[in-house]
Amino acid sequence: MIYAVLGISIFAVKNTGFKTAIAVSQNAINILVVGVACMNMYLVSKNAMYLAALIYILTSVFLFLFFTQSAFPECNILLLNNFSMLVSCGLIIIARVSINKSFKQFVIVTACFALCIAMIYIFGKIKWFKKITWVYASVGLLMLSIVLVLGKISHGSKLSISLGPISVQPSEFVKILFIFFIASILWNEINYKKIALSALIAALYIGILVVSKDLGSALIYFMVYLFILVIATGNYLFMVGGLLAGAGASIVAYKIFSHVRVRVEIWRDPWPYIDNKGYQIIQSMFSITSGGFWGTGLLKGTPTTIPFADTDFVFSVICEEMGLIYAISILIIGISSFIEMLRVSSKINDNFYKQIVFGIAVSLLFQAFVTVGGGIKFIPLTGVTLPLISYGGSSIMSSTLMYFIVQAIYVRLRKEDKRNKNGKAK
Amino acid sequence: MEKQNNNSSANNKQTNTTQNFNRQQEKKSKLINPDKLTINHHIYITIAIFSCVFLAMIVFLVVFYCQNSRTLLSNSYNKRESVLMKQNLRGNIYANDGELLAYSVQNDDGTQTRYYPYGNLFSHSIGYASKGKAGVELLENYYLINTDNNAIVRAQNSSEGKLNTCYSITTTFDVELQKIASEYLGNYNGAVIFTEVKTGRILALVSKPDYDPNNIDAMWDSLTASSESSVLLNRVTQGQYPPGSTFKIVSALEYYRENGDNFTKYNFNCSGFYSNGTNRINCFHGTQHGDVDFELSFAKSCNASFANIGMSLNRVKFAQTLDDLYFNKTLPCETASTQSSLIINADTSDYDMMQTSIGQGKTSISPYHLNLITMSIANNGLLITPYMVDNIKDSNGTIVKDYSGQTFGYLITPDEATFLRRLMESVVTEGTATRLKNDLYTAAGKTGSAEYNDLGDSHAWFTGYAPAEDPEVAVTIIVEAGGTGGEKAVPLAKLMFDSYFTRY
Repeated sequence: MIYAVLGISIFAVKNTGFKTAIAVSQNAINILVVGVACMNMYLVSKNAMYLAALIYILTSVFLFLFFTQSAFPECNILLLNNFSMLVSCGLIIIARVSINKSFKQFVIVTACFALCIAMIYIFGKIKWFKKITWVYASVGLLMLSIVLVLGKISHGSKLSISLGPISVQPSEFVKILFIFFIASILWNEINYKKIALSALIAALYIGILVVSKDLGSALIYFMVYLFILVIATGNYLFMVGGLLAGAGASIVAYKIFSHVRVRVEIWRDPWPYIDNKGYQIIQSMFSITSGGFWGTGLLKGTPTTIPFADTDFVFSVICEEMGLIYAISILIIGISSFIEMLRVSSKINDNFYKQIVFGIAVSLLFQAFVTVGGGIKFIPLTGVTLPLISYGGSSIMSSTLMYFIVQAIYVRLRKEDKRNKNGKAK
Repeated sequence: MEKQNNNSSANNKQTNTTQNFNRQQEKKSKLINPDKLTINHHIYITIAIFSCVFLAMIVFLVVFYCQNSRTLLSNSYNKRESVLMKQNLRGNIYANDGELLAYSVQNDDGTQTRYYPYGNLFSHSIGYASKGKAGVELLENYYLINTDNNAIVRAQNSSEGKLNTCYSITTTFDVELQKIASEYLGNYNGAVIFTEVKTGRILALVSKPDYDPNNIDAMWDSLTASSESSVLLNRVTQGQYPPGSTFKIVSALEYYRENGDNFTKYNFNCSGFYSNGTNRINCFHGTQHGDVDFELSFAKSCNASFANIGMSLNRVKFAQTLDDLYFNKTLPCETASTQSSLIINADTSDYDMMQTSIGQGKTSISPYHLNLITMSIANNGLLITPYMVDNIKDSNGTIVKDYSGQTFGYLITPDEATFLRRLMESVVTEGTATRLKNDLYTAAGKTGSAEYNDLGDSHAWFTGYAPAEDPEVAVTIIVEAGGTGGEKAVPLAKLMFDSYFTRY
């Protein structure tokens, strides 16, 4: 249907010429997709809840877009549009999988929007981000340790802690602290002592995650650390060494932990385990292959046979009901956000913020890679969420924070640029 | 003084090393404190790396979809089929002349029922569509449950409560040949496969005992209750039988490979048995064949002579020939098939070798495999993979997929095929299959009477092709406990050839 147009227009955005026109047409497509999807679900199910969802998504997302753009004219339009596109896509899918759950998600998303705007303000005012290295390190480690000790065990891993009625998954938020920590230690005057120190702390983080059996997050933390290290030192030998160490660690993990072996085994050949351990991935494979390029249409497929359809396997749901073309467009939107973030990062002079933007971009895209790749059996399954799309408050909140930290840094950069130009003009 | 001097020189050294160290330190810190240009350079590399990884993932996704969508849909763990069956009416299956072999009807409550007008006749070829599926119903399940109706027609059907039309399948099966084979077998268990050697089309595929696919759901529990019941087994592709004298084709091939044209000099005096001292092989019913050359040994199916031939064969080379003919290997087959088994190596005992060369002993083969070998011989060595589905049509009757025989490869050389064809022709002209002599066409083949117990009871085999000079079709028949191949299997081959050559 209209999905293909979307994919093409996202490519066109790379062409920086007609920025506003493209931005507006992107918004139009976004409205169209949300409208078509929700009306479609309403017509199929005759459930008025979907109309409510439609109204909610349209008003909240576009009020937010409008408000952010008018309050911060310097903000990055492409990132903002991609963000709203991905969030609304996520809300549609969550509404599809479970309309009741989606209203809980709506509340969280609204809170996120408020948080975003606050974030941009805060970044404009505070100057001491670089100085509290050890606060980041200790708070992050403390939070992960709390999970390890007190965390609920769900499906074999310790991921979340309960705070009253709300269940929080701290590793999602600690990811941000982790990036801030690395950037604050490596941003200037690097020496081997600092590198060793950062490596030690990073190893501690990753170690705790591995012991909690949160392998997906461990992998993401590891890659983020390596990439920032390379950028900070300008020496790709760290990457080579890091990857070798990583490979060694993986082999050790493979030998020591049975759940790692199981994952790899299932990835190689899931069919013998179709009734138990392989059920999930095989149902996901069924899902991916049954929608075709155009999808079955929302509510017409049966993607809910996959356990965790709305978190770890949300991409398979998109493939089945919205089609491969749409699913690939989502990936392309992800890549385009990534490229845009790195472009922003390359323009920043301050190494600290440069590394933060870079780390966030790597973290988001690598997480998307791990989720999607796991779901389509490209790599072994690790069970992380798809940023901005998957169901789950912690996940969407932390990805939103990440997007808007970048946005805030960008706004700051633009303001400084303007000031400098004015200064020169005088 | 000396000490002081020593000390000062030591100091000098120390300062030198400190300076060196500082210099190194500077170098190092330059190395790890890059300028903006280097950093940005690395940022661009990162973009490239991730873009490549994602591109690879997208390609993988599309390739994965294209390769697996059909097979995964038919998996019994995939619940999507039952969803499709609420919207689509399972497609029709036709015989090669357009006769309807299977169709579905929509019931008043929106469900559908599958009907098979010929009942038992196509039970193993068309198969069944519920309870896991078999035959063509399994092979082309993807098309049978998917519709080509466009979105507008689908919406209209949906509002009227009508099911969408699916693709239809035209098979290669010939109703007449199928009937002849099935009726001839009657209450005997057995298997028949009739194929076109140049195209690979399977015209008939009959396995007995059979069942009525119209009642498959009702009969299912009783059919699967005991593991001994083999009604659902397709004996053509999954049956495993001792090949009996039909295996002499393989022994003869090996002899020719080792001796070439010297086979004409072969001579043996048959007094009804062969013995190498301790072991003894009898001719069937103790017949004394007298003085026989190689060709007559084959035509008369002289066990004694072939035991003699078998003893002369190189067992290691023989193993290679078996490998060439796909023994102990997965056969090219569209449906589930069983590997034929026969292990020959340097350690094989003389007795086993004698038994093997006349097709008794440990050998087991499926009728389908023997038909493949016969097809290859008839087509000058080149095997065309047999197939059952001719084409797939959409709801307008337009062909969307047209199948043709895939060339599998040469099992034997054209020269070896000529040699074997000469032998197989002599079986009809002067040997055990003289019943096939007639004026309409020429035929060639090999009979077999494979003993399956110590009482001398045998399965009747025939495998052959016609016309002898320019083969078009091949047939392989086994009648379980039918007696001798010449008496019980050859007449069916004649009926089927007759029918084929009067009509085509």
